[in-house]
Amino acid sequence: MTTKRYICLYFQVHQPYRLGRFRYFDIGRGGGYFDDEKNRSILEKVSQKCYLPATRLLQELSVAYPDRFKCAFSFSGMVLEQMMHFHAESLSEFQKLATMPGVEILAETYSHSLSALVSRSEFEQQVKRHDGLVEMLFSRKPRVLRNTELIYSDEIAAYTAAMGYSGMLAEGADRILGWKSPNYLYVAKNAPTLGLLLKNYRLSDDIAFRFSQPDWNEGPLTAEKFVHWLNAIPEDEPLVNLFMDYETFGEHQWAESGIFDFLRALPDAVFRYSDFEFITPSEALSKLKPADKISMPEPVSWADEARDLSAWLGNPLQDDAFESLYRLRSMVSDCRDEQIQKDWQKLQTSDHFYYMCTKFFADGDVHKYFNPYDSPYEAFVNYMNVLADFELRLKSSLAAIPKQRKQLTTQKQAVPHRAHTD
Amino acid sequence: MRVLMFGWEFPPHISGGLGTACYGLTKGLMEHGAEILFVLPRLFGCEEAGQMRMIGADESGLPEEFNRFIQKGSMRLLQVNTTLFPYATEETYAAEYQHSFNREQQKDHSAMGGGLTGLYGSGLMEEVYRYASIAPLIAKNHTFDVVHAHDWLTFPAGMAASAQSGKPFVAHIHATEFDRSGSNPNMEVKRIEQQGMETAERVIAVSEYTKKIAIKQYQIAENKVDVVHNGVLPSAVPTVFSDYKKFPVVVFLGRVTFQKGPEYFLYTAARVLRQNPDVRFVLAGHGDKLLHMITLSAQLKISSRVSFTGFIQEQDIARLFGHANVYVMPSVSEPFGISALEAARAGVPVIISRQTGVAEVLNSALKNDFWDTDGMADSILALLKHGALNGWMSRKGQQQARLQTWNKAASRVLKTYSQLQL
Repeated sequence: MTTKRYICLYFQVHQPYRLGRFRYFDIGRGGGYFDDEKNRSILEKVSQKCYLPATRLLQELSVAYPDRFKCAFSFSGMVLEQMMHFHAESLSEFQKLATMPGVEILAETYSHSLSALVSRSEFEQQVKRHDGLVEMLFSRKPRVLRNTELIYSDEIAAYTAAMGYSGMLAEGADRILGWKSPNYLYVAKNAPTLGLLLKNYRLSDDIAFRFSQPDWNEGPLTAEKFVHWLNAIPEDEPLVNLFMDYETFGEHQWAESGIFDFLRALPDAVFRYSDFEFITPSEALSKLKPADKISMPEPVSWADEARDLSAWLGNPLQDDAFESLYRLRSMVSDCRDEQIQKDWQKLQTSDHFYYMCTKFFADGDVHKYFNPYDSPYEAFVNYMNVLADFELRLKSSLAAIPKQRKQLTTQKQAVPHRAHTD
Repeated sequence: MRVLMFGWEFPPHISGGLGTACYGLTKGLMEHGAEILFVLPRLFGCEEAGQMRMIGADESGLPEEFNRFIQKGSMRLLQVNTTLFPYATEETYAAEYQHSFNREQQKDHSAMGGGLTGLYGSGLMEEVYRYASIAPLIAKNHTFDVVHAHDWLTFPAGMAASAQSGKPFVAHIHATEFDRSGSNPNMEVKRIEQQGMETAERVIAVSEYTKKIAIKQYQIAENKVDVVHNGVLPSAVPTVFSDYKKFPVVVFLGRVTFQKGPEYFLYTAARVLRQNPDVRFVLAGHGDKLLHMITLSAQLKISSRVSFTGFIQEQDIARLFGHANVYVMPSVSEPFGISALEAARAGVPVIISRQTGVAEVLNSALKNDFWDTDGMADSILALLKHGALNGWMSRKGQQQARLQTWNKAASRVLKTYSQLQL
């Protein structure tokens, strides 16, 4: 009778390196951009509220339903580094979870960056670097990629396919899908070897955003009710992709909201009241037949109502900051200074540009400007001061390098490479 | 000579050139033996509503040398409770008022009574007249030979005190509505200025430039207006030369408002950067145009070479002037422009617009029309390129600034007093 139907759970784990206050007078200081204390304390807080309890819960579920409960994770290089430095306990819980068979780790850009929009080689380098870290920490080779903030376009799909990945995650945006349902496996139109899993944003956001909204007429959401909604999906639609930030559990939705009880009860409710099973992205790619080809000529993301890039790029502040950053790229690739390379990674994180978003900021409200880190203008000014210092360091470091090395680096970039071969 | 003087700000609580000018002028007058009762509104709050308070020698926060005068009895400071705020427009005043109101409420609920229109009155005009309504009482209780008021906010008070006492009234013009608002003046403000200058027995203008405005825009008789250029005090904080920067620095310092022409600074910056991409431009100060300027720098794609400091403390000004290569004041209309003298005093070569009063005393400065961003850019590039020119202007500017004392200004003011019908 019916074909088997699946739920694909995917969680994003990311924390940026937040900048400390960097004034004009600090330009020339030569580094020290990041607020270690703030980053450490935020990671500590998020670990206590989310990473530790949620990961232990998922371990329990994996033990309770071996081979049946499954989920996928993507960790940015930024959060992995910070866990290595500040919170080994969280990292080791994630590592423990990753040894369980139903858990898949995905590829992404090391810096949680927007590099795919501006430089193919920077994107490839970051994905490769990220793969390296994942292999080191989890002994896994990612097969499926999810780009920063689920940003996807035909062009990025082509890069990803060329790197040898078998699939990508993307947003099931209405304006792309039209009458089509996100609940099928698709392939990229211009890269038919690349499978596409599209987020079911309604059901995902019921958990991630609406779960504890007091004015939501469907609340409180129970696992049974959620499974009831799953059952309402037409029977020929085989795949429900529930993609969300991991911090949904305990951080965005507090423990008091019952979010952990929901997660704990979900597998049992699914098995008991539906014919759904859990599936990882890689399994979905091998088990399901693509229903159609999908094309997204313009980048699509999972952010805001607009589901576009406007959270990170588009206003003059964001655009000039972004262009100023990537103007430095060719110099950075000539530079061998390890600390400069590390800072280069951290400065690319998309969050810095998100802080400059003016969409929800009343223009001209001077008083907000006074409030540190409470305004996109403040974020911008601070970031540009940091970038000015970074550029000075970069230039003085390059001034010390002999010319022939630069040629070497250029050659290396020109050779196309696969992600996993070296 | 006993002077009843109405001001609106006084160190240490100043927000612009006027407080500094009142400070310098009263000091100079006392050095010539004048006795001054200086009345000023309290910016925020009141221990007891409506009270006037004589400030004693033990008052903390006043410049030390004033305590000497206060002890000698030649200076008395009288504070009047109003919410009057310097450089306020009706809009910023409303926001500031709300802010101070909230603060007051937190301090003492019982003192405030009802809503926004309670004790203080909600409009700037209302405050101006509130200040004026107290003036006759002050005039009645003190003896003096002349009433001297600084700018329109204090003119109604000065006129009221003069009318009550029959003593002559001197209107001191530091800025007019035409400087502040260009071709779009607030007619009520203009009316008060007009009335003040007409009622005054003599008018003091801070420059020939301002005198011309008084004659042309307010139809004041030429022989009724005396020009007294402002002075500059020796710096309270010594210039810091150790804060060396590896890049050329061009500075704008002032309130970021229409009057100061900050956008011409940025247009000029864009032109300079086409010739010399290593120059850094610092826009120091706060004001209602700040967010627009930040956006403009991004739109001009020069934000990687521009730093915005926001409001800047004296210690930081001393650091900034210590390493700045050029100071630019592109004011659209600047009655005087004391900060150009402060920059010159610190040895920074100065470029000023022709639409400034300070151009009349700072011969060494390079002058351009404020809209001539090409000319301004050429001047900057010349100063950055030619060390000899830079050094000459630095020395010459320091000499000229040193000659421009408040003692000299005060003797001019005494000359004006001597022409009055006492």
